[in-house]
Amino acid sequence: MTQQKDISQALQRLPMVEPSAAQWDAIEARAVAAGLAKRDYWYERKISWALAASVLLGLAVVLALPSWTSNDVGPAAYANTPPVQPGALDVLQRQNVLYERALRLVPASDGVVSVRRVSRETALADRVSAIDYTLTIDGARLSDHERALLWSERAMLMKRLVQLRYSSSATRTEF
Amino acid sequence: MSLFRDIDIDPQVVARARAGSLDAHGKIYEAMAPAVYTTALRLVAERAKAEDVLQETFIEVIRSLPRFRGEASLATWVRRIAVSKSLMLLRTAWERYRESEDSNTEPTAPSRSVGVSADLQQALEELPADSRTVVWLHDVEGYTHAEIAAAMDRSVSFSKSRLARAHAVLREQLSADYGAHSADSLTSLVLL
Repeated sequence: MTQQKDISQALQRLPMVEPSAAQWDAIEARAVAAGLAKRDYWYERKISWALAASVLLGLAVVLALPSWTSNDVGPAAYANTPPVQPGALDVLQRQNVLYERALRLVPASDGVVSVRRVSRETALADRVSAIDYTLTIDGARLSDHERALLWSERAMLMKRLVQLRYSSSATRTEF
Repeated sequence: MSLFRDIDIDPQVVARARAGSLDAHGKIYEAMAPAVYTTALRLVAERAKAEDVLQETFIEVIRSLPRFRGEASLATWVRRIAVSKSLMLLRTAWERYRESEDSNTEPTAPSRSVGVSADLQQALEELPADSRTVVWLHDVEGYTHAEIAAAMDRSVSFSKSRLARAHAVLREQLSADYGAHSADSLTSLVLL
């Protein structure tokens, strides 16, 4: 009984582990893309000047060309989907670009790799390809909300792929 | 005892989060992320999966907070979501397959001795997922056997047997690593 208590106490004293700083960014982007929460005003002000300028420019164009607000396009087309916050797609696309870059930095595989790892990598890469296909071929028919969900899933898959490749690379280096 | 025990969130922050403020959710995340991530990591034993659990847990918190009735503390509620998400991940067909494959291989001794804490962590990770889950929820999070049985959709006797088995394996492995030290001295070593 004493030994069990000792093990319990030892487990309780194991240190807390901090998640990586990027985790909240990903959660925030997903929540905004899914329309679950909204950024506060002070946060909105952090949007870059470039984005603000492009929004203003777009507004000016819309005001200058009132015929664009016909029934065919515009807000009515997206009435059934939750709104996507400005900048959410940008954040998700930037995440994807970062993961793509990270993936390119992983040393090429030249050693023996387990079948399990290859099958996991293939499954991830296949899903990424399927998302790319959907975004490319059906992109025009997707709502902003659907696009954001796909970009969000793609970012998660890319992260898993990067982690898998890096762990594989690190294992080979050890031997 | 529980990693979540000292977490106290300002009710005004909770109220703002209920209204959908991401800033308020960010504050809740800051306070709880280490406890959620650590719990997930101890249960699923892989960083990438623990990050997935972390994300899924806080997405669920953001989605469900408006329905949170405050019967338990917010920390307890978040812990329940984190444990549930971890168990869901462990229940997937792929994880069950991996678990059965891993259980067919001989357990390996820790390759590097960098301290009792690291070895205990490694010994914990090498336990089968169900034993690891039971021992962590019981010994660290203070779950009763009945609560563990309900969370894992198993019987109370299952929880008790897995706990006994996990203690036996941890005791044996840690005693082997520290032949000169008995398990009784484990706590004092960890304290150093």
